[in-house]
Amino acid sequence: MIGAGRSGPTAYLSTLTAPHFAAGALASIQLAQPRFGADLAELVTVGADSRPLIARGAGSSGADIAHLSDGRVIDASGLDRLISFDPSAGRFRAQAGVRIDDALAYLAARGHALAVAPAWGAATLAGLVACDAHGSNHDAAGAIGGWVRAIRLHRTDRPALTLEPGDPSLLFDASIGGLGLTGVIEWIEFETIPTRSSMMRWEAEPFARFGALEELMREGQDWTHRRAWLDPFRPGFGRFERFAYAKDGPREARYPQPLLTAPWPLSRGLVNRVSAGVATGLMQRRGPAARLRDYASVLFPFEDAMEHFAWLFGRRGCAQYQAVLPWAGAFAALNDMAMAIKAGSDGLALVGVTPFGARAGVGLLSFAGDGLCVTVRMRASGERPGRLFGKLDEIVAGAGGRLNPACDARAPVGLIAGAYPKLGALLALADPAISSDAIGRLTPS
Amino acid sequence: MSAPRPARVLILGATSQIAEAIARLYAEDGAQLLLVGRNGKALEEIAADLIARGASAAEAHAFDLAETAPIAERFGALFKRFDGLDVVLILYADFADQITIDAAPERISAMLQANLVSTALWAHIAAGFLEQQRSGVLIAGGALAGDRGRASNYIYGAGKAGVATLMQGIAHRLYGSGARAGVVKFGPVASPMTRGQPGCAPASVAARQVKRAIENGAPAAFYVPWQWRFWMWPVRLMPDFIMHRTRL
Repeated sequence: MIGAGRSGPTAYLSTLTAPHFAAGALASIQLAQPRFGADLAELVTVGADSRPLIARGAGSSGADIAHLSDGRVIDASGLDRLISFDPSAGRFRAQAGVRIDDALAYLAARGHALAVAPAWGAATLAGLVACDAHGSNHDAAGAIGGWVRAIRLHRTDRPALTLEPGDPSLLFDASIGGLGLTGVIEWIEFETIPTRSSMMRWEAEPFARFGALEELMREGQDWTHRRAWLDPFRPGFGRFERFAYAKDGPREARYPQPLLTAPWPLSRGLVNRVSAGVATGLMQRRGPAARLRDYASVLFPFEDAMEHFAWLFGRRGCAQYQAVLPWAGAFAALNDMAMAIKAGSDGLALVGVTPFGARAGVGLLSFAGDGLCVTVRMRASGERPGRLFGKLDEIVAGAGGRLNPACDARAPVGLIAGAYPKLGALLALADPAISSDAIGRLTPS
Repeated sequence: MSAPRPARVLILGATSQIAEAIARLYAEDGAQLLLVGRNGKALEEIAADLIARGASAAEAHAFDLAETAPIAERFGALFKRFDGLDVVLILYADFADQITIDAAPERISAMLQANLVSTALWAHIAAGFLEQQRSGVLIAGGALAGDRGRASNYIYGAGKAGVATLMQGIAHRLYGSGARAGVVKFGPVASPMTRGQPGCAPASVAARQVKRAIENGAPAAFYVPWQWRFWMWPVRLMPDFIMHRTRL
């Protein structure tokens, strides 16, 4: 029903249940759902309510970074307005809760794109920035933080402020990939890239050993995006994809067209030995392919496969793991990981690999850079994901890699703190009244 | 639909989720929009968004629509802003559930004032202008609650039933003038308030249905989402002796 007269947006509602993507657990949180930027200042400075707070976007992170069991959560997904777009300067300013697929659709029709798009179109722009997310074009574009030109940030300890790169207080750097700890983002200004078409040239090729994957990733420098899907049953096998915006063609707003849909989460999901065997078998049997595809179907492979992708893994959703392996010895470590995944998941895992370029992240806690990024998704139920991820931790640590702190809600303190020397600096710049369930994991006690 | 010139659209109650979703669709067509509501800052945010999406104009006019005083003057000024109007949408509503009303019965007069009295005043004035202009579409927001009085929301329902009759009458009055009028009966549409409630249509889907209905000549009464046209049959036709045994 329409409800303009309801007073709600600036109050924290009584306990609501919000689905937690990663663990699939239904956590009870105090939620506020502002619809306007003007409401944000009020929500952030609710004086009488001294409980800590955290901002939340679409809830698509696999970690607990937007969760606060004993506090207030500001759901910013209602702040979904565009503010301005200057095509000549390529500057795009929009509110925190604008979805990435909406932003891309808007820009695509105008011959532009966000330089970096993660694999989730449903994620929000602020989530993108707070995790300093990367796409499969890290080689060419780095992580999104390098394309942020301004941020409007609300803090509990000072008036709202606009931050730009090079800010001497380091608050800008801390907010990029800052997991939402430095304040609540109202809007972001991005530098966009011009595109001649909203179609992408796309090629796929199977490989049968990791050496071949290494070669495929090295060659063909005119492809901006590269990624591979590993066969979870047969370490060394998989399918490599490369793609880039086409040189000419239509400029159209597009969205993923999910192949499958389900009206509610199926309790055990659709991932089982039979379906996984069939899917990987089909993947392997398909030879090389090349065609023009619209950007949305290529950039958002999960949402293009199934609406509510996590439901594919059942009611409890999917657990995620993401780490980067330094190039020296990366493929040997990848082989070890593939063996561990085969043993630890019975092949019921979705493993993606993408190469990172040398460009280091802007943020104090930026994850992406220089190495081979491995992402594992599997059903979030029982002990298995935890046990497997623990094994993967050992391989990653042995190879000198690091975990993505924004990715899984289990990453052990030592591995995060040891790999991110600037974590202390970030925590020093964090808003005193902002916290999240993740902070316990991040702070070495 | 490719309009020869941008549509001129007035939205009374422009900060509601569904109103904003409709405004975005018109903005993408390059329309000129006038947004009226109480919350000036919110209207400014919406207006900036509409301009970015392609509206050739989007103006925020902040005042309380439930004020009865100078409605004719105010509507006249808005009407002149773009030399006439093609679409007038009345989409504000004041909702409280029966539990809230039981606790504070004084809410009843405020609700009926907003949902029926002020809607009638604005719709009546708007109808006069459109009749004289001999073109344009006037749509007011109704609700399923107006189709049958139910224990859970009869005050809200009474206001919305009034709106339906009001717009039926205005549609009758405007017949043959070139202008049209109708009521859109909203079923559950997703908004922050209906989060987690199953069966809600996304606001963007509902908005597209409203716009399409307007472009197709605005029937005097239509449901959005459209399926409710059929699902409301049994609710309307159910005999009281059955209805009274349900808790709807």
